[in-house]
Amino acid sequence: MIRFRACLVASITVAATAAGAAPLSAQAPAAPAPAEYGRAMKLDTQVFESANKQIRLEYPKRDWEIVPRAGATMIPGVTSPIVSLVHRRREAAVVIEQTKLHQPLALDDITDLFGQLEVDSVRERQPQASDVKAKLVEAGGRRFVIVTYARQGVSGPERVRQYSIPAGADLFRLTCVAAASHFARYEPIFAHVAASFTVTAGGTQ
Amino acid sequence: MIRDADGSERTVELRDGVMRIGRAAGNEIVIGDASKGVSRTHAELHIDGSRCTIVDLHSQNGTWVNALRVQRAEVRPDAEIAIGVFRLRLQGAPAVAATGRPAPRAQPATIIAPKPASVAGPPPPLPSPPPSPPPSMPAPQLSPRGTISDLPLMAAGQGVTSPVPMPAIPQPSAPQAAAVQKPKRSSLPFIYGGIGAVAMIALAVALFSIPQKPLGRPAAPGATPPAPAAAAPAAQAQPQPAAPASTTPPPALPVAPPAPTTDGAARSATRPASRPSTPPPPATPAARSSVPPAPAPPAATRSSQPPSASRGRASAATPSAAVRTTAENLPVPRKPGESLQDWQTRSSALQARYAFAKVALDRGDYSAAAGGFAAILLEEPGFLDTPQLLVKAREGLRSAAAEAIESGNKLDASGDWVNALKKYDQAREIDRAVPGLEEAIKRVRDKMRVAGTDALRRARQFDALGRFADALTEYEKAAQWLSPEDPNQQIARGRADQLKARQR
Repeated sequence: MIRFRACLVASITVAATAAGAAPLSAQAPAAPAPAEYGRAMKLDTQVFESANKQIRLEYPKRDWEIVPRAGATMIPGVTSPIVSLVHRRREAAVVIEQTKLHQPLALDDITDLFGQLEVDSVRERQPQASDVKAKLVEAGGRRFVIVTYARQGVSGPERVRQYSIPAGADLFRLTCVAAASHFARYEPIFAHVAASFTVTAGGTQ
Repeated sequence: MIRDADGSERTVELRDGVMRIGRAAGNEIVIGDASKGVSRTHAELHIDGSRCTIVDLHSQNGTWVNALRVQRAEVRPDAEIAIGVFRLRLQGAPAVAATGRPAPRAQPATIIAPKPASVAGPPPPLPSPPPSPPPSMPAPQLSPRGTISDLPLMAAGQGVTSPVPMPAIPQPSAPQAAAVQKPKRSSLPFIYGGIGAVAMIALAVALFSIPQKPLGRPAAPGATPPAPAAAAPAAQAQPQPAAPASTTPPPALPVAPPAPTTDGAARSATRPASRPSTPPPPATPAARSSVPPAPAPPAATRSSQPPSASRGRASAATPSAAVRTTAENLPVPRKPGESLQDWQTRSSALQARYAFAKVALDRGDYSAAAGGFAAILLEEPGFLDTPQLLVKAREGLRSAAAEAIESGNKLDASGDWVNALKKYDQAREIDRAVPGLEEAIKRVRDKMRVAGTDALRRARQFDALGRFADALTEYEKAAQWLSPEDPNQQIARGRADQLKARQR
């Protein structure tokens, strides 16, 4: 039932957009919930900085390790992983990807449509995903989309929270995955990583 | 002797008996006529000794003897026979006519080809002569003498000019004239006949000239003869308009008063009789005030024409045009010191504007109509029913503007802002003072601006993520909805062009 509702909302949104129905001015994005986005005050963290100094984030010192990936891509439309943060017991993980946009997006350009497009992207890449929801939020001087959904992982059901953060001509996706049964436990860590994520515009490519 | 159209001459000697004249080769006297004014078998000459009679064989264009169409007539040596465009004259006299012996060799016939068209002279009435004699042409039965032999006197131009086309009769040469005079007979019948013909022609001319005066201006019952106004120019005050010597100013149009004023009386006194062909119809003041002139061509075409040219064209076009160009229908009062020509020119221009505006009003172009009527009233306040028509045009303007706004509101409600704005602009062009129009335009433009901005945002998002088809659609919407002054419109248009090129 929940899945059907999500599909219905997505269909209505896409249909309304494609049909050119009377467009309404974009509503102001809401502030994210503290559990979704925000620094954890009692969390002992360490900093990760990409090799090209473009991105920087904080992650827990304990039980988390870095799995470096290939460097950033310069080809528009192509998505490449930058880094993966994996919990030592493999109960949770954060995968950071970078996508070169065809057109740079300013803050005002990002609307609910962007969330819908991210939902479409999730559905395209993970057809088994369910309960896909998107929310446009604005915090810390940036506007981004939080997409949540469920999927069936190797060891059981998983919950996923994806932060889609456009930054100029780049789109960074922070995909936070945890077992459905442990998602609440790791949720503050996901919120801290996303809140500490910064992009340096003049990063060395 | 026969002189054909090409100038060649030939002589045909007459013989006793019947000789046929016609175009066909089997005739005794063959007249080749390319214009076919001569029938195949046109007529017969019955020659019996000293007598020569011509009989028309039901020809199409008839046989004419001394300018009279005849079915059968005796032909005397001095008579001229017209067949088609050819002239046939008997030469010589029957020397033995009295004796009764046939003298066929003594009567040669001369057929003379028509004169070229460039030669001045009376136009030949053939090959299409009137089926019946014109009124001015005295019928042979009415001739005082009762014989057709009387007619050569006037046909030969002996002091009488016929008002109708007559066959061209060349002056006989000296031998021919001598031959004409050969028959010893009294000249008294010719003189009497000539006098009678002159009298009849004069009577006919008088009859023709009678309608000119009463048709020129109907005299009102009990009206006193108009007297020239003191302020009228001397040339206009001339009560003899038929004098052609006076050329300045040319009173080309009959002038009649639009209102019983002294100036109008002066105008009525200067009616020339030089235009009998287009007599103005009787017009009462009431008729003039209630019936506007007939629609005229646009002022742009008429005003550029000189008054005389426009009048000539109008009189040659339709009766209504002739009515329009007469001064009797001019409701424009003459300004002090204004010449007749200026007055007529101004009146014609006003009438042309009036007709143009009225046509515009009839076809629903209230803007043009109102503008035209307003311009007329600026120049001539109270011109005809222009004030009323201006009110009507302005009411039409308001109504049309309201309809346009209503249509715009409906389009606005349906989200078709572009066409809604067109309707509002249309309403503004019709009547800028319609209440609520500017607010409606602003409302729609605001919607378009917001929608265009949103479309551009959507387009950029689609574009950023590689959904170019959707991006192009949104870019085009943005380009359509955003105003040209908005720089985002140029951005949207430019990116749309790039995507189109990419699609190609």
